[in-house]
Amino acid sequence: MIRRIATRLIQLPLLLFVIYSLTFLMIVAVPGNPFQRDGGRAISPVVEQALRERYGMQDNLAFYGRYLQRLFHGDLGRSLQYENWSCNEIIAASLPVSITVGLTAIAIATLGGVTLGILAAIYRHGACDAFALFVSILGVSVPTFVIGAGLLVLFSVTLPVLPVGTWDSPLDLVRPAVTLSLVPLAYILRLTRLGMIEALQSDYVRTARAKGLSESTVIFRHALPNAMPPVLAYLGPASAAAMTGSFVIERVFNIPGMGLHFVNSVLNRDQMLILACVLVYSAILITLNAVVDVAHAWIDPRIRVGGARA
Amino acid sequence: MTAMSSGTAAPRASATRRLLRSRRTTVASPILLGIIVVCFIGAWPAVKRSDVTSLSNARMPPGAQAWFGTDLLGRSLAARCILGGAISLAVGIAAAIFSVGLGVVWGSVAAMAGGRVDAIMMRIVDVLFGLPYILLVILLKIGLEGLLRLRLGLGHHATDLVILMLAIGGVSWLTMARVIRARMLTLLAAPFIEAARAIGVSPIGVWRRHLLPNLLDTIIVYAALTVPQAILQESFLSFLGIGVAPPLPSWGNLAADGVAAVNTIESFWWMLVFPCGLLSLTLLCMNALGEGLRDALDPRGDRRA
Repeated sequence: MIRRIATRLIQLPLLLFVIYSLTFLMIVAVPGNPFQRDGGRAISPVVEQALRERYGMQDNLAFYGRYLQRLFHGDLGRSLQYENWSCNEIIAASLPVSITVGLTAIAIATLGGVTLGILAAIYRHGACDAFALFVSILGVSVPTFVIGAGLLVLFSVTLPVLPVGTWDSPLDLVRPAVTLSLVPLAYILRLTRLGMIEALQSDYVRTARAKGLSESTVIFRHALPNAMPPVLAYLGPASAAAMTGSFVIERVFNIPGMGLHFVNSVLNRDQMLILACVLVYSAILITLNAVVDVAHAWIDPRIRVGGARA
Repeated sequence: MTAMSSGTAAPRASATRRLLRSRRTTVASPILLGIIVVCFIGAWPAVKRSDVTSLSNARMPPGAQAWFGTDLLGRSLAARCILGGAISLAVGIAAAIFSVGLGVVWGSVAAMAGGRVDAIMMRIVDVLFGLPYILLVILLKIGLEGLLRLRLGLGHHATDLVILMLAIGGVSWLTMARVIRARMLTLLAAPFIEAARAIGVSPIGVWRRHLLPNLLDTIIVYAALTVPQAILQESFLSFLGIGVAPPLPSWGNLAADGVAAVNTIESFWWMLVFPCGLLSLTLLCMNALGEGLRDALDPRGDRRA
């Protein structure tokens, strides 16, 4: 167990270093000058030289080294696009928004997915099962921006109950969170349903029923805990994806989250902000994956003892 | 594993029967076929019509004159949806083929090489798996853009589509590689492989004649499920403005235009509904078909029943 945690702790900075180097390679391969605005006047070499010196990016190698050095001090650099903003400030302002939306979405997905999954497994081949199947196929096939746009039109144009394009009341959280929750909901639903069907057919459930336990005890105390490990394993990457993968949702609902900054930084060739966003995203993802891996080993003794990775 | 003991003809036939019996697939396949045929055949006449602007006809609602209505610049939305569909489908299918090919080769090489090579190759997959997916696609796309467009000086539109295809395909092969490696490891331990090796068949011969036929079912199922994934990725990128660049249409950037065209004051709903509807319908049918294929071909069978 301790060894597992230690391995993960050592892996984290190494992985981040690999990601940093890869990202750096990609962004210096991009054509175009980050200091040259599209359609703007040609920048004079003297000014560009001064700017490059100011940002510490005289040449690629110097940039690579300086940025890495800064990272050790927790400094993610200065944005090239938004003058007077450091990347730390931009991320500190936008990351909490993305995290709020993501976690709300995961909460909705878990509640809805597990409930629907249990119902579908209990009433197999029934109407509920058919509905669950429909939701699960819908969730993985319909793009989130389609659902988002649908909700936007439905609750603003047709049925104006929710505010549009604002971000100041908890009501603004409803649509993006629901939209973002559909993909993980579909997966959680499938995993729960499969696990519950397997559990309900097992011998220990038959024993529990033969003992005369009530149906709810059988389902919630005996079957459900055995159906949950795959769902738990999925929750780690899913919450990371929900917190970091909401670019599209943020675009549709005009939410001032980090995804929007990342996409804009790519479009603006804001190399500093690209690096900062990628590193923060990756750090969140890797940390969550590691936490889930350790938690999984904690819960499931088979993994702990075997130590083998799937 | 009936496929190994009793030849391949009988199980394939029963798989076809199972596939045809499933209601999902019988509904999905004709719709999907229709969309694909219309998009690819209609793309040729649509190429010319999709870029004809006429401001006097701008924002015309669907009617006899323009079936799907017209967009902000008066271009025919039907022509743009058809051409966009052809582009989305082509990029998606090409990306899926690329990613399946890469995954099969990577997984096979890792499994057959074994030892340290296998460990290193699969560790690379692990590392890439731990990275944010859509982030990687975006980074790969801007990286490739620099490489192909700037360094090699290739043309504009076609290169864009190839870059997009490579970026999406270059990220989505990981699952395929893992699955193929796992299947290969079980197959490599089977007696008939040992026998083939014992009579001196070369490793490539073993792979081509004895392993590949047994992997085919798995490859088909994953390929079928990768195509809608790739189309989805393409539409996300185009929606964000990083994918297919206007004036070339794709379902993703048409949908983005549609979102911009719908607001509380006046809504040009057709610009949103048609591309989104076509994209969703296509993806739904592809996923239904892919899952039908998996249920029919998966040797572990009845996962859903």
